[in-house]
Amino acid sequence: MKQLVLVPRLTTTILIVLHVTILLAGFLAPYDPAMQNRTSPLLPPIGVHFVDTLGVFHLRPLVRSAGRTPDYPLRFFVSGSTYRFLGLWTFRTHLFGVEEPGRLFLLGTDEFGRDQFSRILWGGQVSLLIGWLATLLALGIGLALGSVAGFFGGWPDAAIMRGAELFLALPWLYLLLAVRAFLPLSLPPHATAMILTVIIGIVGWARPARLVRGIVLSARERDYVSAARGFGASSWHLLRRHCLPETYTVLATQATLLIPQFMLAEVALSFIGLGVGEPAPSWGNLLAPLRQIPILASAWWMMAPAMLVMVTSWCFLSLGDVFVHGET
Amino acid sequence: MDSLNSPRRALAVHGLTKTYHAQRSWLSLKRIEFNWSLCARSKKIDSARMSYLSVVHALRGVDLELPAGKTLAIVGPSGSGKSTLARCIAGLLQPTSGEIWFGDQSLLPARAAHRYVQLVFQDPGASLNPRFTVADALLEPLRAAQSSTRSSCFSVAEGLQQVGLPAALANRLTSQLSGGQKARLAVARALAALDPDGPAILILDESLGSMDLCVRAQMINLLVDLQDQRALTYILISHDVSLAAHMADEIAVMAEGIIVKREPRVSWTGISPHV
Amino acid sequence: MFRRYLLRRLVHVIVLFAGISAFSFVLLELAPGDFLGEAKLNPQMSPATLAALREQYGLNKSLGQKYLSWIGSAARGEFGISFAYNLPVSKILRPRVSKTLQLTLSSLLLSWFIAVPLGVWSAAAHNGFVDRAVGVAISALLATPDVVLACLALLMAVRLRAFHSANPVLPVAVLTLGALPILLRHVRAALLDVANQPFAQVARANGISGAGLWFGCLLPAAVNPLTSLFGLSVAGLISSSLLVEVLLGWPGVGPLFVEAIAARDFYLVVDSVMLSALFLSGGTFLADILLYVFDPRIRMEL
Repeated sequence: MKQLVLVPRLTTTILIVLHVTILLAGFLAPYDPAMQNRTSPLLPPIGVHFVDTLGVFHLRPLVRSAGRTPDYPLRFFVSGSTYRFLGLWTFRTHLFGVEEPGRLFLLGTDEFGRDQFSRILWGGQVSLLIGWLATLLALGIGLALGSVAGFFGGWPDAAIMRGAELFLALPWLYLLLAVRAFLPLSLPPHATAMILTVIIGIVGWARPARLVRGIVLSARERDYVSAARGFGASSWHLLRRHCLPETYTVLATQATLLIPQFMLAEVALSFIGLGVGEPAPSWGNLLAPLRQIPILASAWWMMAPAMLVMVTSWCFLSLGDVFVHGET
Repeated sequence: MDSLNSPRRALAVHGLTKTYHAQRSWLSLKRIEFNWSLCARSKKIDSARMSYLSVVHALRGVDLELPAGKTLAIVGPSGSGKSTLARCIAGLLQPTSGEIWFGDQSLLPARAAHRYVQLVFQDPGASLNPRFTVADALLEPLRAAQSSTRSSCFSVAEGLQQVGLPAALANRLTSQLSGGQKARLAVARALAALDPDGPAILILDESLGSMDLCVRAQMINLLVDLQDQRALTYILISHDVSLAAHMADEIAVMAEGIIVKREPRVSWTGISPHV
Repeated sequence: MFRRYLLRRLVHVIVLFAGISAFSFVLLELAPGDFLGEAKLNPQMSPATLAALREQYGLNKSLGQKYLSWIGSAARGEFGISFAYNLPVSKILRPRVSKTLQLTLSSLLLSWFIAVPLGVWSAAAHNGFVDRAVGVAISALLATPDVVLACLALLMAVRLRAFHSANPVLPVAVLTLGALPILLRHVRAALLDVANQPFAQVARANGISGAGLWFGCLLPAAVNPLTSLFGLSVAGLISSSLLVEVLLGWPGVGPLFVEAIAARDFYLVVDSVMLSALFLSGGTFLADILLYVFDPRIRMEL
């Protein structure tokens, strides 16, 4: 059915566009995310217009100015604040921007006057990266320990499964916070992001490990494994060539579940102040001002990161459904 | 024994025993079920909850000698230890005690047994990984044993041709083969694993039982041809006495872990008539 | 038989808790800084006073000594002292526990009471309009994190000028909405699995249909996966309740836990973690009992 084929294509496209956009955050964001404008806190989004105050139509979009000066035209490929791409190369070119003192706040500003649009793009890098890396870590540990437990049995199996039980016996947020508690409360943002990745990944190894163990255990009993043993194959050969390939589909499905889950863990932690801290933006700490009711009630544009979080989650989860129910 | 006139000895087994000790975990609530027909309890029990240790004698001192190039059939009821014997000889199970000699070498632990003896499983299709291609399956024994010299001079096409499979199948997935083709591939793989210089023993553990008559007939012909060409030694394990009587040079009967009777085919009197 | 099983479970739980407490202690011992870390920066406090305070709070003891003194305190019913509040931890946690339980239990019951009939309806009207609508709602809710749900609910309540911290309606609604999509999905999937089995076809052929078929015949057969889901839903609910309590100002264990982490209030942190593990174990235990009650096959095995 056409409808069924649409969904995976749509979600994959959205995800690719999202990731590329966020990768190019420096280029697409008009302003530096840490730049404050104390004179313009909590401004609603300032859009672009094609008709200026005198009623004349221009092809080039304009940004309204505050005073009596004419409107500022939107320029493309402007030179602005410096940023680093992938942390390696430094650039100054931004896709679009306006001349000073014109201000282009596409999604408004927060209480310090920082451009939300830029912050959301940069914040996405942090949140998505944490989601991806933590997932890789959790799946990696889960694969390694689960296959050892499933293949060798005996005391490694018992030890690993008891360990997994310990990790699963605590609700994940409590466990995460407990582990977070053993770190210094205020860390430089990059260190925090890395540490968060590590602890979220480490806390989440248990469920994938159990799944992998089950698969490896049943694969181990197959005749072709016994046959390979009969050729004098080493345990490593058996694991690598016969047992592990069975796990790949499950790992892919788990990845589509875990990436949004871990991203949400970061959002939750940063939201309550125990995650990525100021001034580095992340989708979680961009939502943190909403804890104050006056801001929640009046500054609706501050909910924008929530929309992005929801769209990302929905895309990953839909993709996971496609894996589970087979290619449509 | 090693005179040039007498046939070479392919396999000799002395006093092979295999004993299982089943321990019941003190925390478990269910008793462990045994599917062996013979079960010696070390303690008298009225309900299994009271027993702590149960012992199963799967093989009780088996002695066997097999001249090269011949076929020995082992028949017997379920639970008599036929499959256990096969797996011990093939090196898949570690016997509790006893010796196994291949040609002139004793091998215990039977780690290197795979060069001299290969097992063809009851369901040859299930013993092939469905994700592998035919070529992968054939080359796997060589890759697994990591003998680079042998893998470089092994040709997939030759291996397939030996068992009557067309070389064009080399890139197909094993799951795409028919039942008969899978059985041939299993034999080809076993042959690839065997060392061409040593005693080459193939154990067919009820492998022909699950096939339809047509495929079975083809397989029997193939096996007989191969035996002539490559001087293979076969151990045929079967329920089916008439098949044994057709293929084998000697028939041995196993019951309760030992060999009770062994006769050449020509003087076979039969144990129970099978049609 | 069942008593044996209960005993085994109890031993298991005790060992688990010993493991968790040891784990938490080690983790928190490795933490840089302790409760009096902030005070060290205060120039008015002399090192002598600081050292005396340390001694009084027992912060100088080794890990083993701390653990043993905590166990002793637990035996007395105090479970350690909170440095920030200067009271036994059990006194501080007790009112909070009941508040959290109110939330968690209400949402648990409510979400299951909605999920089961709705799931049955969805499965019965498979691919009908209701099923599709429910499917879309599930996807949307599933993608919405608890944080966002809580914010939206708060926004709505503030707009309607109906928000009050002590009112349980809002937190329970948020928790239920958060838990509902997964439950619905699994209930529907379990029922569809069961509905395709031969015994269901026989039942239909015999004329059983409608509510009698679904509730009387198929739902009991699907009980096994649903009870394990019950245990998982408790786990998810406890984590979500932490967030919701913090956001909506509900005086449960959650906000206390976050506060204790920030203040490095050692025993309060450890005990809150143990408490959450206790809730979870309680939930899984309840799930096992439900399984025993509803599934005759388990009764036979045991």
